[in-house]
Amino acid sequence: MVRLRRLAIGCALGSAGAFLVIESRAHAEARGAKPYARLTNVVADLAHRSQSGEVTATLQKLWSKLGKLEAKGTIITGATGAEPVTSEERAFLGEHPDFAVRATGTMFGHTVETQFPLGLALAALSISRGALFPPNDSTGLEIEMSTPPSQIVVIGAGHWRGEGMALVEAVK
Amino acid sequence: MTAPRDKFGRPIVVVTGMGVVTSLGAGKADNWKKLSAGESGIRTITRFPTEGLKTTMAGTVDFVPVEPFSSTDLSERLADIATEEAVAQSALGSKGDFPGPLFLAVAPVEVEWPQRLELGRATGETDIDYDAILRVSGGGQFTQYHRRFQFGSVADHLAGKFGTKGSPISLSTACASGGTAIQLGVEAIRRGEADAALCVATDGSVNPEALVRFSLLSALSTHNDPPQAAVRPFAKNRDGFVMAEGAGALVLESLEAATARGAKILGVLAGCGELADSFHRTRSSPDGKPIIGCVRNALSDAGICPEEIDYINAHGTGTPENDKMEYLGISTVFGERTGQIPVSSNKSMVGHTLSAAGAVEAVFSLLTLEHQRIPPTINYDVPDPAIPFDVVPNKARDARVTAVMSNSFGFGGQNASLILTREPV
Repeated sequence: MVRLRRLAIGCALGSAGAFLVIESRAHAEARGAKPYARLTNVVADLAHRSQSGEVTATLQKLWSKLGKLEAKGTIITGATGAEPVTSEERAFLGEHPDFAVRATGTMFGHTVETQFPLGLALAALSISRGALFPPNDSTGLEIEMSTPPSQIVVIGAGHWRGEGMALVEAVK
Repeated sequence: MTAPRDKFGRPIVVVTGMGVVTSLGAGKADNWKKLSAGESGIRTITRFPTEGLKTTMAGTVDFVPVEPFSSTDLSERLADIATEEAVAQSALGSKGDFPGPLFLAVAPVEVEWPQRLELGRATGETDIDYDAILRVSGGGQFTQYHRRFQFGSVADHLAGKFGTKGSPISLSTACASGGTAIQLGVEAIRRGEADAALCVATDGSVNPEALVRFSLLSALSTHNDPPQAAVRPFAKNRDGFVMAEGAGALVLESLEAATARGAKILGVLAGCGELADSFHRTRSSPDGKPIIGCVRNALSDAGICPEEIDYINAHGTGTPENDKMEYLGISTVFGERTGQIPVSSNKSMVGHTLSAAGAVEAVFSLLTLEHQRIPPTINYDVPDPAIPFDVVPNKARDARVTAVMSNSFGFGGQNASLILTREPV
């Protein structure tokens, strides 16, 4: 996995566009549209990043605001590879070793503004298809996931500023 | 006592602090004095050479020194000045600890010529290509420019300095940006997500490249001499807008929170409307429907009818197209009353502060309510018979004003209207 590897510091830029149509469930159902997934919660904050550990603490805080999370879940992260933020995020991910992590930067590069909606789109697609995409990581951080994901947490920590998190769930 | 709600059951949003800086000066007192005296802040540009340019004047803020100059650095300084005034007036929170989110309207950001030239010099070459630029950029010596020229950098600075909560929102909806920043604050409070919000809009865009770009659109006035007479909104001899700099800041609170802490209430943000115009990149839809819809959205959001508006703070840029379309939109909504409602343009004096205009003019609208005096449209010597507005020509007018509509109609297709009142409606 390029993005979360310890030695290769820095991001590789990527170009991408992501466009999500978000509507209320009632509105979608009334027009007969089939939802990919439910966007249950989106939270964001701004760590000042003046001391080490602030991003890890902010991610922990955002995680606690997402809602009820099942064990052995899934995380799709837009980790950029820039430091020190990627190390801080890795420390946070280390607290959830049973979660299957996927870093989109490995495949798409750092798509900057698009990174977070891209993660949401991949989460919604994975849930609607009943399968998470395979690991793409030589460090062992990304683990296999054989069961259909019912919840995916999307993480975006900017290479310089800004932290966001979202919970995407299967429509029940 | 039940919480004060509007007629739709939402929290009432009030203003408890405001700050402004324009080419007329820094602060509400100085701006209001000059605005109500009909003074112009437009002057000949001295910041950079203007030889060969068709337009050589602007509403620059020259009394805030920024060295080396960049529009983003000036935008940040102007935002600081306006925000300090607004937060101090509100007396909300404590120093560096504002208890609410930040919504910032800020111009699009890019690396500017002084910084590009510095980068070029650092290559040590005369024939500069991308390889050379990449070579000198990679060492980290220009990291500060990477940060400076991120769209979120001004908001990041303000969030740190004033201690706003959460992730600050930087936004650009072209010339409607200032109105949009206020709208986002209003909506956050109405949703119950915040008791207070800091809404700021800033623009320090007068640099050679921006001036040339607007000039290429044939959007700028070329009435260079005298510069004070350049902006002629609604007049027959109007020939374009004049770029200007400034910032406006508002502290918004729920009426409940403001009352609970005994804050002085400066006015009510009764309604916000918006509507995009997708007709053309720079031209308004000829039927005026997006403007009409925007104005109607604001009225219906406030829950009031057109008869209750007794002053319109116009977008009034002074471009032939805008002023004509603005008359079409307003007269369609206000019908026979159109000629009886005072409609004046602050831009006749301060110029078009672009991303900041919506917030600067919201502050002026609130000052109009406070002083019960309508600032004039200056340089109005040749009326345009096709635009029979009562433009409050050339001299301020004392009047009873209870509800103001402040319009921002960007020619990029973004429209926003605000309704401000003295008392809850």
